[in-house]
Amino acid sequence: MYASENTTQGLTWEGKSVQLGDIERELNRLWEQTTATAQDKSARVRSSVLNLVVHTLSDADAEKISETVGRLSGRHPSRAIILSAEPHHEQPSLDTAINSYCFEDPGSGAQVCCEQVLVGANGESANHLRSIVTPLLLPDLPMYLWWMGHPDYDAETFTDLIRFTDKLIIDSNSFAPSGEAFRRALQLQRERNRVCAVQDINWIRLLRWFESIAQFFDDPALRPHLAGIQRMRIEYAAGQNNASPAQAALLAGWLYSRLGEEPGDVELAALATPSVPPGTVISFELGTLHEDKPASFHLRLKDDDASHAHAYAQVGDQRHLERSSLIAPRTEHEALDHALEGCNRDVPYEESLPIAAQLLEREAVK
Amino acid sequence: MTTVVENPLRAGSRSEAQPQPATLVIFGATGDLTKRKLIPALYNLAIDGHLPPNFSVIGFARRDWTDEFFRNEMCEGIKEFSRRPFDQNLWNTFSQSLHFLSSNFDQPEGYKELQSCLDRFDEERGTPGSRLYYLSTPPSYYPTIIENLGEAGLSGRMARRNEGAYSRIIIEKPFGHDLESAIALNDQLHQVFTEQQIYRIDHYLGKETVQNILVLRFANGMFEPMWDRRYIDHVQITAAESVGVETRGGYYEESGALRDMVQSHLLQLLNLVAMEPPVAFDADAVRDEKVKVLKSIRPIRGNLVAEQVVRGQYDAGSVAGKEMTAYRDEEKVSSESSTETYVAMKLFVDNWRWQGVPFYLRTGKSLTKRVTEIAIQFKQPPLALFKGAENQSSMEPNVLALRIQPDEGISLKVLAKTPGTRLNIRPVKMEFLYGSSFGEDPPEAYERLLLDSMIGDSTLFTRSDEVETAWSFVTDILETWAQMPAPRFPNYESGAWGPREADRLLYRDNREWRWP
Repeated sequence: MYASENTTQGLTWEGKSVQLGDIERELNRLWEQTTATAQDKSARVRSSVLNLVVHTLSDADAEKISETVGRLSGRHPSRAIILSAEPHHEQPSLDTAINSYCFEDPGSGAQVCCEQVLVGANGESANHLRSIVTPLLLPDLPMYLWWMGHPDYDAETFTDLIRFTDKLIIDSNSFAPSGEAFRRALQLQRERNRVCAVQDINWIRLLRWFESIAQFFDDPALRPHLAGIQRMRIEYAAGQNNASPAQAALLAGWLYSRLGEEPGDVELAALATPSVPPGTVISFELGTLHEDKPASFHLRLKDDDASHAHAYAQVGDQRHLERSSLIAPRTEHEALDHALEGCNRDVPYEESLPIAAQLLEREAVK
Repeated sequence: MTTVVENPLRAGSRSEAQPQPATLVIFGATGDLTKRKLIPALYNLAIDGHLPPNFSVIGFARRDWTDEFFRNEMCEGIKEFSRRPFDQNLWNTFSQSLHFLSSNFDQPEGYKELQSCLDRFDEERGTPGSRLYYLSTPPSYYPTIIENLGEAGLSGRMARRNEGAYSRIIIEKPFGHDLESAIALNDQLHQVFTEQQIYRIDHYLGKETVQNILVLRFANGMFEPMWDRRYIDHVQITAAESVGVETRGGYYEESGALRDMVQSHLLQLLNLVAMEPPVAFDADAVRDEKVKVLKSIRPIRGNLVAEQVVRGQYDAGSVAGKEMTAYRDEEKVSSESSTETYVAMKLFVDNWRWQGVPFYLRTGKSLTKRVTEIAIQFKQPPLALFKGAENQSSMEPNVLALRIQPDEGISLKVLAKTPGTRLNIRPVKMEFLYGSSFGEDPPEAYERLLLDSMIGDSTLFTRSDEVETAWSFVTDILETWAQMPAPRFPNYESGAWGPREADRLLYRDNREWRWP
């Protein structure tokens, strides 16, 4: 259940070729209007727990993200600054739109409102995003930077913004990363001398897989099998073009990094599965040999319901822990909701990256 | 002590403290609590991946139910009461973990059958011999069940087959009827279980907002320096219910508001507001500090009872437009009942921090609205500077209100100048809505408490000395009431905020109750 059901868009304002001072002034005016239109003035509360800056690649992306972020206003009230930057545009311009979103608390009926600033920066303006973003940030609150597409770690815009970012959000399923991209993400975390977490939405999509796999080994009788891993096969959905094996590589990276082992016999296989987005993991199989006893551990998305997986462990001729596991591939706004929860570094993710990178490099050679 | 399953795949994950596979035996499983709270809580834990796949539940009760009937009943319970929507796929797996055993609580044969069921589950489902016994029966059955568990060798005090396996017992309130019965129950429990095996539930402590009191106090630098007699004028704790006793007349006649609410929930809230910072956020450190508060409460005995405690009983009236029956006309209630449905009291915590600061507690049924809150009223600064201001009557003291339910949140009342050329000062309420800032849908209290009992964290459960100290305070009042003439009941109309005597309790101190 997400807050989106109770979220409504409030007042809006748009301006062409604006000055930053205009934006601040309009934000204040918008809030005065928002309060004035409320029937019970005390029932509207402006609330913010973070600044969210989204770097998009196009106006269309910006619009889509605006809706996703708006739906999360109840759970993560924030000032969202959605940037659409086109540095190669001939005509420099700075266009802005402001939206307010209000979330109605089902218990009290009170409304919590927050705002979005959509900034379209073309030409020269697109090279100065930091100077556009900084004055618009709410003070004393963390800043989350959601970089859509492949982060260009060396670009001035990126390095400028990352300097005051508390958490960087990426989606490695959206840009078919190479092993190098994963290594750069890791390097970014390690280089910086302050707490800056990197969160990959692709990793968040795997959390229920991790949980279901870990559950096999909560059983003390099955746990020793982890010491004798022989092979791992992970299938992921192939798209029309080559789908990225990034999610599958992260899953393998997670398991080996938890065990503190180098990856062994790992097969990442693309399979035509139109019911889920390309790159999505569809099955996991782990073969082990412990005290000469072979065992295998299976999770596979159900054909008729991709939100659940059929899970079981096969030890000799006996099945254990056969069950239906909730896998529920997360929608973009559910995954973003998770990504916005906290600023802490995700240590299992960091530790998985070198192995995932290694596996992607192996795949590239094939 | 926390038992963490050493599963390497859990290292560093949010669910690192994952419970071991175990079997939960619910005594009195045909009751409302199982259907409305316990099974939906387990189902939600399963959705969140906190319940091991081979976790089992055995419903133990007198009714002649089958596994299938029990599962169907619980399925209905989940559909109606779970905070998450019903998921047929998950239910198909979850329902296979539910079983029913029909037996009277005093029949040793029933416990032998239970033993063989548990052994069978250990074998079939690969559970290592860990058990949780949940007493969800009327309290009169507690001694019988505890004794039989001991005699059947089910308490787990004996050597266990597997390292790390545990046996724990979870007990619903009320824990005893007075100090003597609480001590007797503790003694009986300790003959069969060690204190570390015993989990006494007060579901208030499982509420997110109750836990947030400690975070608010000890994680924010701005509150704690002001949190004492120098800055705080008084504290009001209110737990008001808008409903009457409904179907619980029989129980309530024996209990009353003092036993039902003050001994447990209200004193727990008082503990959290008044306690010193614990040396660590673990079970014993937190409970040590809570016990210190309880021991510091100045006893109310003899003549002080009439001065500091007000009791009441609701008459007919209306709440939110709905007609309400008088308590004495409720089902299973005596027409001459002197059971109190309302209590208000003034008490003092005699320690360095709180010397001289009154704590006003009130709780009751059939009141104006349902609300639980703690209000900290600060002392006023010298206001001579603003004596020329208009609206002198609006110059109210600052109040920090911690709302527990509903609309969980925190509000702070401050004074501000209204815009204009004149000096006009008015109170402004700054509000923080807990649910709206951190997303809706926090786990139910029972989810948190069941999970904690599975992983062995007893921080949110009450310890034997805590229970006995709370009863000691309450029993003094009960004994004095027993010697006083019968009260003139009913003395407040349903839908009011309680009897007038409760208002006078504060008027005498030049204070008044908040209207939360």
